[in-house]
Amino acid sequence: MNLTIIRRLVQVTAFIVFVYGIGLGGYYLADKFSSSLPALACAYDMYTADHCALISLQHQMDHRAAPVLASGGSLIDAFLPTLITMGTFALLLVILSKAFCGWICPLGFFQEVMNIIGQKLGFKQTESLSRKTVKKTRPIKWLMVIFLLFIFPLLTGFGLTGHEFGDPFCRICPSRILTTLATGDPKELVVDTSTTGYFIFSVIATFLFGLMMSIGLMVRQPFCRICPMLALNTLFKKIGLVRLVKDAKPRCVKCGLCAKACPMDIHEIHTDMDNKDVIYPDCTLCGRCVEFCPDKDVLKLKYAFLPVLSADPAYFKKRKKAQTQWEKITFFNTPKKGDK
Amino acid sequence: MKFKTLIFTTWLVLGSASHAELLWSPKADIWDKKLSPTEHEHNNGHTMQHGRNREKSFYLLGADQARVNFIAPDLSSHPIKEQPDNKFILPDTGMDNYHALIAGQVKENTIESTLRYVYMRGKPSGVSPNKLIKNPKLTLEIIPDPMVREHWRYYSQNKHAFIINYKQQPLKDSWVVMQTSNGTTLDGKTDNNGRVVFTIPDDFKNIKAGRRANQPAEFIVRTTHIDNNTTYRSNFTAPYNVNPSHWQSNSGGILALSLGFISGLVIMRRHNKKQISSKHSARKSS
Ligand code: SF4
Ligand code: SF4
Ligand code: SF4
Repeated sequence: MNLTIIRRLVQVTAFIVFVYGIGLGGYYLADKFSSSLPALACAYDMYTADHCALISLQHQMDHRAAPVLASGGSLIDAFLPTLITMGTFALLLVILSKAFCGWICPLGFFQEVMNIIGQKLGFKQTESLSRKTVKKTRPIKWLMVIFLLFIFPLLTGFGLTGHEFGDPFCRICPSRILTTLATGDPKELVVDTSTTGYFIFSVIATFLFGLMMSIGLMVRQPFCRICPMLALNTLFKKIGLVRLVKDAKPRCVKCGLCAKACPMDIHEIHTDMDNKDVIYPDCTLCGRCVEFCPDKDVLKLKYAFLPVLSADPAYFKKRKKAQTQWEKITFFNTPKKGDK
Repeated sequence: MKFKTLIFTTWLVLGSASHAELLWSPKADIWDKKLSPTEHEHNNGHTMQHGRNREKSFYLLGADQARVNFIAPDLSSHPIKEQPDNKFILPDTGMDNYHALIAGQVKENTIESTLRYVYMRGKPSGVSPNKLIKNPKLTLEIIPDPMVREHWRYYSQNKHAFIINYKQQPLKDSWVVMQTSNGTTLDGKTDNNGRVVFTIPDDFKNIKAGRRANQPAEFIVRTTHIDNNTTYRSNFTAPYNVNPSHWQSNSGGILALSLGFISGLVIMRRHNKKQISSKHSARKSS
């Protein structure tokens, strides 16, 4: 069994827990367990076992920090709940680090499924986005953090923007639509005509969801590239127990298979010849780069000091063969016996 | 409706109206005027409080030397201060999540009780809300199954279930009435598991677009049980909101999603064409 199959099993389990959790352990399974999950499990999904930290942060800006500051309260008083949320968030990241993205997030998994569907339907796959596109896209997630998680909710709390700006990321978050639809509830797949603001947000949200679905048929993880959660968990990447380590060899220069395998098009995983710690801000710790590295022990996925997977020529050979076989299976043709 | 049913539910509805029914209400006169409460924070108790420590208070209607109790998620009891006019200001327990607001009184051979869950803000309690909701608090208890949780509210048009427990056992074949402050009355009978389901009536007048433009109304679920010459009357109150479907459109959502989907296909087609032509020109130049 290769790492990707294990990861898929974990993703399916996590999807069940974070989309349908109620069915597993009662209505309030893990309720209030964290409310600070470093993955887009959605609070709007009535059956979820826990929800993401982003909604808590936005509400804390709007309903706590701004009113306390406006009434002359202290900074510590204004941001105490935010500190608690961030503390819990950091604690969870110690356990799994950015692997919350590559292994747990329901929306991350959905995008992988869309890409598999696209490949099976015979859509031409864009293996890697150009460096220019990747470079242009990378700052978007940080802007999302600054404006959608903090500035607009704070302005709303001060009464300077309309209520729809109180949780602006949730307004456009694809996970809200995905997870509620997955439970058979269409209430988030709507256009809201109550105010101009809500109308615009709801059109953006539903349009973005459609866009993410179709682009996802051909490009890997399209939404992840602009996701504010990816930026936020980057802030704590140093404290996580899951590590991605590189011991570069001269042969790396000509190879580049790791970057080709990377669903987030992190070309630095190939070009970086100096750093040992190679968890880049866009990394989701999926481990594909390790799987597709053909050189012994160049890339390693570790949990604290324990090796999880080390690059290995024999593993690479098997993995590559399995991948080729898998890609040959489409909805319109299945591999014939003897196909390699 | 069968004749027997009609008599029983009429008795349940009028019986409680003929004398002042013991119940928690966000406003003293909401049930007189059959109007919605005007205090926004009293919708379903779990709206975020603007600012900190904003006081929450409720009126105990129909009280005549009633005993009250306020129970936190960890099941600890907290005394509530009574103000004039049967107004009760809820204490800050420092704990987040649902708290139970209970009142009971005995009148001759009738035992009356009322229950309401109030969402309070504070530090995470670290316990499941089920601990409080499922924990027996009254001899005849109406248990929301489930209680609406964060980011959810009771909305008109939605189905909600309640379990009736008497002495911690489900009470089957028992008549239950739901009445709203907008003037609608519904009735239902519990099944073998003591469960009854109501569709909350869509009975708001002059609906405006947007949740905040419409004040929530109140509903009461009540039931009565007679055992050993003692009558037990219990109710459960909660606020409910106008269903957003009045101003939200699923077909609009599907249309915007389809447009997004098609745009994605167009973008990718262009992107692929560009890639092919740049490959061609690269080959030519080499
Ligand atoms: S809408 Fe998105 S950000 Fe908001 S709670 Fe749901 S998953 Fe989290
Ligand atoms: S980056 Fe992707 S996997 Fe990570 S939280 Fe965002 S959507 Fe989920
Ligand atoms: S760098 Fe490696 S672990 Fe990180 S996202 Fe890319 S393939 Fe996955």
